Amino acid sequence: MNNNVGNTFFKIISAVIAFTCSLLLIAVLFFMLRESLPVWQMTRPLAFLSGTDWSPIYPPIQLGIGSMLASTLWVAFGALIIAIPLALACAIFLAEYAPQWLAQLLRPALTVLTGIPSVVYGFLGAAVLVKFFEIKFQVSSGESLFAASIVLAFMVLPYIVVNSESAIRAVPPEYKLSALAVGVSKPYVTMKVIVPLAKKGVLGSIALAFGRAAGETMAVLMIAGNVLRFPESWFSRGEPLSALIALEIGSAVPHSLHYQALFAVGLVLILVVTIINILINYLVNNNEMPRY
Amino acid sequence: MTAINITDWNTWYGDFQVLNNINSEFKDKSITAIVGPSGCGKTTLLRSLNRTAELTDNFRYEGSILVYGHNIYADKAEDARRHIGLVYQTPVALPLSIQENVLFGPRYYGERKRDRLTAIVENCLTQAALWDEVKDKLNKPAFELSGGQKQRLSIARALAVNPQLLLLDEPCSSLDPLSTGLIEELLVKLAMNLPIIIVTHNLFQARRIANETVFMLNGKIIEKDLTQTMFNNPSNEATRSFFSGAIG
Ligand SMILES: Nc1ncnc2c1ncn2[C@@H]1O[C@H](COP(=O)(O)OP(=O)(O)OP(=O)(O)O)[C@@H](O)[C@H]1O
Ligand SMILES: [Mg+2]
Repeated sequence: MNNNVGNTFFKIISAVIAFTCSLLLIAVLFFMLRESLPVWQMTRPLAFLSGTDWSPIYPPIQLGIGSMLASTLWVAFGALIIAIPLALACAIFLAEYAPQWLAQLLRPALTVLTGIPSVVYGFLGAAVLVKFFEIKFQVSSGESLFAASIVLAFMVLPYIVVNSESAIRAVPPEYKLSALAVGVSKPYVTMKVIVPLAKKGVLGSIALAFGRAAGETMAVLMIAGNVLRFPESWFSRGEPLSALIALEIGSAVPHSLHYQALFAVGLVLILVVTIINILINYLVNNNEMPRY
Repeated sequence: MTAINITDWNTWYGDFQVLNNINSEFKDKSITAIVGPSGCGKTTLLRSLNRTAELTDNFRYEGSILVYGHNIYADKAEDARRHIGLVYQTPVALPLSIQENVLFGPRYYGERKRDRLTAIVENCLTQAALWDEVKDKLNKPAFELSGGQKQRLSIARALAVNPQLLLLDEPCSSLDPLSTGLIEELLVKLAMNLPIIIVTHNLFQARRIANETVFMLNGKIIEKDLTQTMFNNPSNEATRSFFSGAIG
């Protein structure tokens, strides 16, 4: 076959696929926007985001998702705060220090962890972690955003570890050899050379983890406490956006204001994750990333 | 005076023997070139000399290497490496500023005084013939440098920890003639103070800068003599054919 024709054919196919994917994203956004349009006509976006009263069915109707938005942010960032140090330590250990047999044991184990359904994590969190808090701190209910963050941290940990480890491994060996040749220790080289070179991949994996943590529903629903109050701290109970949707969509009458408001909540959730991803991407691209 | 004594040196990667009974001496304050066909063990010999060969998991060795009479395999590997600089084939800029590339070793070894650090940067970059080109952008990321500049930066980085010995593994193989010339010139200057061993595939380069030349084949040192003699009047048949084949 003529090589040129093959090339053109390949290009067209790729373009069509890329176009379809973007179209799908736009279609989802469009659909969410259309379904929630009456909400945006009724309340200003800022009031919707910052209001702390949620009463979508009985008058006086109040549509404020501030409490849930704050819960989502607490839970997701909290999960990252717990997961990132652990995951990075784990990734560095796997890529640089673990003997081969151990690494070959741990890697598949991590992959299996990503495959465990979130309801199982939620169940374990409720049965073990929440109970532990109840006994340890003598409180009537051990559910909290903090407990949800811990469980989420373990859920996103494998993603960060696996992707960061491959980023670390992708650093060309010359860097390590040249750096070690000066007579410095391996940890010094790891921290000053290898990790900075892998930063792009590591940040990418963190962006992915944030998306998962913010969107995770089942586990959070079972552990966070589900109260519609503004969470004053990490240790308050709360109901993240994803849990709100899951809990109320079943009882919402289609095309009622309640129903439309839940679509608006979904739209906000997508936008939050997208904005965080854009921010991290911005960080990646503007950090004078070393090339290799 | 002798800088390096290698006695009955044998190395293996797993079961595969790479260096075979190497016995040799290298002179102080002079440049020695190592030449030989690809895969004959030149890099392995250099990496044995600064103890980075053992970073390969299945590396094994027998024999001894003395540097100024001191057995380098008796020390901790890091200490040995510190005293024996090695510059690799690929120009490498660490993901740090130009200045911090030079200070990579000194900072690790606890140098904190500002004026000392500034002096090290200027001194090493000058010795590596890079100072004039970078003195106004010491805080810029080093990866912005050209390949030839990166290679000179690698030399500066190696010099910054005061090595007793400088090893270079085909340092000019990816560089243009101009950068190559700069590096050859600076090596000749450096060799007034410390012994240099350079692996090269460029026989003209060996002839231009090396006082002595070593010819290796299949993990053995076949012949070692003054560069002049090696080129004009080698005593070994294999050497003769390598040099004539490569040249003519
Ligand atoms: N890490 C390693 N594991 C196994 N074998 C290796 C390793 N490094 C090198 N070898 C083998 O050892 C032999 C010598 O390699 P070495 O790199 O020392 O050759 P060289 O003379 O430097 O070659 P070149 O001129 O191509 O750089 C080769 O046969 C090579 O395949
Ligand atoms: Mg080599």
